[in-house]
Amino acid sequence: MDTAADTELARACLCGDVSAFETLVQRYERAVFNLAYRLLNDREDAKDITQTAFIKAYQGLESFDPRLEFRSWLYRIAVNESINLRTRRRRMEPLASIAAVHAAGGKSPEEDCVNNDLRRDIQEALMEMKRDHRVVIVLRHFLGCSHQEMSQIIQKPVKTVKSRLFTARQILKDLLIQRGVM
Amino acid sequence: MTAVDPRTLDLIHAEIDGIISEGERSRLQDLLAGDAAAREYLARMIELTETLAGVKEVAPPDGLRRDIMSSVRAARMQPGGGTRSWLQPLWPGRRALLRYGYAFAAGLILGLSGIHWYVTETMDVRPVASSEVAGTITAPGIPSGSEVVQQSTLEMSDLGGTVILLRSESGFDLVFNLDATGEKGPARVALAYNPLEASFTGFDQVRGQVRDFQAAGGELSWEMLGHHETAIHFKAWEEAGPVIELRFFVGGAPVQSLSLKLAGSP
Repeated sequence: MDTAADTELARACLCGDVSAFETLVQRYERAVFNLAYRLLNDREDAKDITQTAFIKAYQGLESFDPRLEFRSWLYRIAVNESINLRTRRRRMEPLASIAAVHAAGGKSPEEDCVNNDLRRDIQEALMEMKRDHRVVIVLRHFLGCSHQEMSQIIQKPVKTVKSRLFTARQILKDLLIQRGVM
Repeated sequence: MTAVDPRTLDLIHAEIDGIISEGERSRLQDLLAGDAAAREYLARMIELTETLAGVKEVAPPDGLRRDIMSSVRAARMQPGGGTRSWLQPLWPGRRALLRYGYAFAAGLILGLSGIHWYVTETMDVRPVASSEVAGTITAPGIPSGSEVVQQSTLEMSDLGGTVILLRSESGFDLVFNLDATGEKGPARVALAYNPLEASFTGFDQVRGQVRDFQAAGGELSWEMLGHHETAIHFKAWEEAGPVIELRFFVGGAPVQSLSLKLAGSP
């Protein structure tokens, strides 16, 4: 993604150009929605988080440091909002919502797009992981963030990011082996 | 857990993330040649990565962008929405400060009332004639967290006052405290800056009224009459310190110009 262009759009927003912000929304709406969905496993929650993240970004553009990447800053807001939502609701993390969906005979969000057991297994495995591990897996493997970007998003040193990703991959691999996915 | 050597694991993850150098790759190949567990681990990691890469994105709900932009526009229309209010850049914790301020003011009033009662009821005091009283009313000090970068005084017969450039953590505030007599017509204040180097992020009218406020393409201007306190908030994008050119007009004629440098990024 064109980081320089993002920064220019952010500047234009600060000068009152709302259409510039709409371009940023268009550019990152899908990524932020997927980030929130992978972290929360709930389509409605992901929608709310996406909306909240963009509004907070707009209202907080003043605090955006143009030396950083806009998308990293936006993802940080979305990750924090997702974590906060989860903390507020104090949900049972693993499987509860998925089990409820299946018990009710409804389709999971993934099944709304393509009926794919593999994807459902992966999402379930993700939800079984600790939050910090899930975050790094989603950022790296679903959003394609570099270690440096992940460091900016979770505000930890690159060394910590690498170590956390390393552990998270091993855990996810074991979970998927248990499920017969791998 | 795996029995693979941690150094080999580091190289495997570097390979998976696509950040391995040619030298490291060669070393990894040597290590893999003599370590079956490491080969198995690498195969599993590649499989995991390919599995995750095969998961398609979830489509956002229809209308999400429209909902976001509606909310953004609504937020923008609210007082202080989308831009910063006057107090915000100067007092980031203004709510707490205001609460303490109210409490302090209430305590002060009660205290003064008590002293007044005590003095008038218990002491022999005589009233003081107004001719015996002298003093000044001063403007409040610079808010904490802000520092004065530059201060200029205008001393024309039709337009006088101060222009103070403050720097805070969130940016720069250009504070106008002006008096225009209006004898030769309204005064006009015009600012020009390079929008690639600095951004206008907020305008706050503290006292008086402005007319015909205009903001576009690195230029701001407005008309004023009488006493006028206004704050303009800027964010500097360039470390070198963008320059704001200020011009003052009275009755349409230029009367003074100033250059202010947004020195250093706050």
